[in-house]
Amino acid sequence: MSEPKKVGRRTFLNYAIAVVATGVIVGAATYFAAPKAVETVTAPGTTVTTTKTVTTTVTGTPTTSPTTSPTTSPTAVPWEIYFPRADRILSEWELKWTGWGAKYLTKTDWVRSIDWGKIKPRFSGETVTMACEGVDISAPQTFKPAFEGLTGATLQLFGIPTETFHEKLMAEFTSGAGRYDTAELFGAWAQDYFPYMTDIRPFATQYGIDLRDIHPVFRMMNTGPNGELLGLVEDADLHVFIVRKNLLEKAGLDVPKTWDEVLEACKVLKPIGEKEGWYPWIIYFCAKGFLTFWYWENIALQFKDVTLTRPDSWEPNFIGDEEGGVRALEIIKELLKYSPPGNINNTYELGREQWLAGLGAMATSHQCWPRQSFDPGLSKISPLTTDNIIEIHPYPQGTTRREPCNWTTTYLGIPKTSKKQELAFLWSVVMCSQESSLLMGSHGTGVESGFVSVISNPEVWKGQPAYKAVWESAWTAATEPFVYIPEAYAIEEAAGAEIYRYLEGSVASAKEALKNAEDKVRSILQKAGYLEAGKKPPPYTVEEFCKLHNEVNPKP
Amino acid sequence: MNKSKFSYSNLIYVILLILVLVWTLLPVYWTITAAFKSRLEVIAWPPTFFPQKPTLNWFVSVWTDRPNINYYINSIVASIGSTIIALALGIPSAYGCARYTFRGRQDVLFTILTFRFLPPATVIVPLYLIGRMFHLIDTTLYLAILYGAINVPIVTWVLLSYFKEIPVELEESYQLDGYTLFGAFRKVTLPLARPGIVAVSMLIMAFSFGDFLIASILTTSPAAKTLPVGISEYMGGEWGYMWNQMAALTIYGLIPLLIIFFLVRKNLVRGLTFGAVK
Amino acid sequence: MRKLNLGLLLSIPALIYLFFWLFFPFLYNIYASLYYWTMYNPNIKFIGAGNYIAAFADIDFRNSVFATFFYTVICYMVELPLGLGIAVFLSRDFKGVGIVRLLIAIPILMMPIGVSVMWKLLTMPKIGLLQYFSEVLGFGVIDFYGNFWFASLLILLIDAWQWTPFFAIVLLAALLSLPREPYEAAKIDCASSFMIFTRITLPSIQPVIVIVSILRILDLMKLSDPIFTITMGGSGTETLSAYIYRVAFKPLDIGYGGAVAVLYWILMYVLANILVRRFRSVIQ
Repeated sequence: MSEPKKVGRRTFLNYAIAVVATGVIVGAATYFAAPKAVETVTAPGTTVTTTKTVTTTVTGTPTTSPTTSPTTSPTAVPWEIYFPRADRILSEWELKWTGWGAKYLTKTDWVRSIDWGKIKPRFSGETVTMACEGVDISAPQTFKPAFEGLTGATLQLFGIPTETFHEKLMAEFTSGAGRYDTAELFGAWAQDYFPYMTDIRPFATQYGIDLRDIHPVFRMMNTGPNGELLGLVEDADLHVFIVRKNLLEKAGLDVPKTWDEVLEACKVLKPIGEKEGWYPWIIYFCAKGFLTFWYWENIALQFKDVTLTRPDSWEPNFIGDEEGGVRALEIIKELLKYSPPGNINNTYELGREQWLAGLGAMATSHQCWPRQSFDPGLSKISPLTTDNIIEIHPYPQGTTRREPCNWTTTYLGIPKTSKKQELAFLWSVVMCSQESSLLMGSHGTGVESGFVSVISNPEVWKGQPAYKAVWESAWTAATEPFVYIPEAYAIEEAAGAEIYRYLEGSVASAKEALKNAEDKVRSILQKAGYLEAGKKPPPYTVEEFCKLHNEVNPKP
Repeated sequence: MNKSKFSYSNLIYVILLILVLVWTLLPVYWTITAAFKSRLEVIAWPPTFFPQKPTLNWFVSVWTDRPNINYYINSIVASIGSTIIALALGIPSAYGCARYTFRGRQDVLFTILTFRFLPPATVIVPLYLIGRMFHLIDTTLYLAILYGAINVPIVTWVLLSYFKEIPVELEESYQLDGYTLFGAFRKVTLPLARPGIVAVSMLIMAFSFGDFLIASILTTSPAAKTLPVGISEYMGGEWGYMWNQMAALTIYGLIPLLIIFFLVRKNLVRGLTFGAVK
Repeated sequence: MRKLNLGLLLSIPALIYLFFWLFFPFLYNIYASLYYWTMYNPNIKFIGAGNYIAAFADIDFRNSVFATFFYTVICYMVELPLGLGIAVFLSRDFKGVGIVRLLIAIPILMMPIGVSVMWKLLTMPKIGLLQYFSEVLGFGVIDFYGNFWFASLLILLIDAWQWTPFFAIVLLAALLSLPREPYEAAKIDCASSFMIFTRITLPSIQPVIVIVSILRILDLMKLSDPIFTITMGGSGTETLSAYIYRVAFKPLDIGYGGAVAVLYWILMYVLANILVRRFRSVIQ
């Protein structure tokens, strides 16, 4: 019994040792071969832009964007080769689709207006760091070479998972270690970061940058109480209404403008869709909790009696004096009947997947859906490869029109603890200037431009069709007031769970569900002390914001 | 055991066999084909059984697009580390409880078992805070420590039966020959319990390799992130569900465990009886 | 006397390790559960049993307890007989049995997150293979993600797919180690295979069945992976684990989370106690 067993054990041990040894060797090799993987995610030795997007053409071969090619035009400055430009950033099909080539789309662009010749000698050889939210850091990576070429400095990117991003940043900023010179800050938690961020207005003045080109909607969440601007805007997103026009036309319908028209259109489309294998509507997200709340409030804001809090206090107002909130909730329940089964539990990615697979005729979403719908490698309904016609319109209205702008701004903050603040500012300029943001929007990184000069430019609409609708809607924008306090998530989660009960049928009346939601939120606000006399939320419509800061609200 | 000869009962068995295999392998097959299809073909309707233009693109791109190789190695290291820790702690306690009766023995055993039903979600926050204090966040060491802790109960309980099955007389006879207790343990008990040890090791490795919640909270960078975290990073972002990459990574993740399973399969037969069959 | 202490001594390292890394963090929950304590709000108030009362008052909490038991029971009741059947089946000797045994083990070796994603791909309306079969057979689109019963069916499918092999392999190993004599004796006595199975086989492997059942049941009480992938806790499918994650962990509500964690643990403790005591004779 012992002989064969001994051999068996030895062979097993041999195998195990071999495996472990291989693993150790490979691991060590990778560790030393790649640059500190903690800090950058680019492959070793790469300095050119090879944005590894996952778009593929329909035939299955991958397309990567072209590498930076040094084309100089005769009248340009020597560093012109680094300027972000369409042909240097976009992929082949995007260039074909937009018709853009080696030309600049914007008339004013901060990057092109700066004299980099004076800057490079000052900053050459220095290093600046950035904390990026999530793992998809293709947006900052796209502009890293441009920045490094223009300044001679090195940029290090740290990708941090979304779940722990907020906490990690807070720990970092409060400890004063100065590890990050700039960080991608989500507008929803903007207030938490305020005390630690540098006001960039002096830098802007120094470099002749006019911050007012950023639409006030996208400055609402990163403007401090005294008008300080705490970072340039990287991502400026709003909600739009996307339709497959061909399906509506076949049914003899116009594009709906109000929610009532949306429901009527759904009713007409339903039997047609059943035959052809699609549904009239796709719910962007609705899963139990905060997602339900977001979806509901976007529609509820279209009813003028619903302001989510009472004027001049934090007291919740979900039902509305004319029961607009109730109507909004009932609309969602109706929409569920016209959506693919199971949409009641949709999350971002599921809704998007269904839309891109062609399961729906209409939907409301952020601007990423429109852009991705055109991508022939991602979308089964791309107008470039099928005979679908995709149009983007402003959000459907109720008794009023308010563009929902909740959670839609990401800005680049520069911590006070940073020792490279000016360099960090220059990096944020490179990434967030007019041309750069425009290109990011057209490149499908999910990051959108928020400049007035960009979104109002019809030439730009070719590459990001949603901008037209955004430009028409932005001046009416309103957000949820709770985004300005740290209890936001808990409030949205609790209220969302209550609202969900009506949608799933365990509560019979929408009004009752909303009343329960109001009660839950009221108790959270009370425990946190917001219901004391004299406390009220900061301005949460762009109109109020502009009034407060003596600005003009840009209108189309 | 009948050798196959044709009879109706055998036919039924063959049909059942095919059903079971189809049921088991269909999702695996689907995963494999998803890794070879193009992005659009994965969501094609009607679904295609064979990839129309199979491509190795995804198998390559998952290594170059993101630091998945680091994640992979971290998973392997954490799994092996946790197995070693769990065995190092569980074997002595199993032996102690098997060989010796002491007051409180039942309680010790039950207490160890109670750690088995601790839902990770209930301790993850304090573990994060502790980890921050000891600078263990974002280290494979921390993962190995915690996975080891979670798996000690199963080592103890499974090997308990094994050790009890091995007669004390064997050890005693070795001791009479001049071996110490530990020496006898090494020479005779451990080899006899090897199947059980191999079996629990497989279970621990499969668990540690596949854990998602703990790894996702306690790691932040390619220095320590594991493969399940890497897979989760392919969904929920700007590109929605990146089916192809997730499928490719799942296949890659399956391979080491499959290889080890294959190598030790003979041991598993005896190993998985939990020593409970007389 | 020395012999008595050695056993305890050998177990002490394990106990210390577990207490430090698992129990001590859990105590944090007990402490926090007595306070109104959220991670972003510095105002921490002592509220005694307030969190516990809130938990019992919350219909989602009560539903999640029910859902947890529901899924534990139905998954177990499917996985055990199925696993046993497969084990019996694979204990016969036929060509290629080794390969089949290897293939059967694959589901356990796959990462749960990969498994969940694949089942998602198989069940999406108008995209998934299973939906295709359903339409071809005339059932139309099945609401796997929104309807409680179908979602539960899918959860059962996912869990059974991945863990039935666990039962199958363990029980197979047990069957293969059975001594021959009783069978030969039974044959001589002309017993039917049904009688052989129920009178000889089952009792012999009973201890294995009990151990593996207890382990699996305790694991099932922690079910959360399929819930997140399929319904995000909606449509009544939210188990306790998923509930804690949604209501306490993500909003960083440590106080309430602590209370629910304590209640969860008490529930598990009682259940484990019942199971182990009832079957103590069998496994020890």
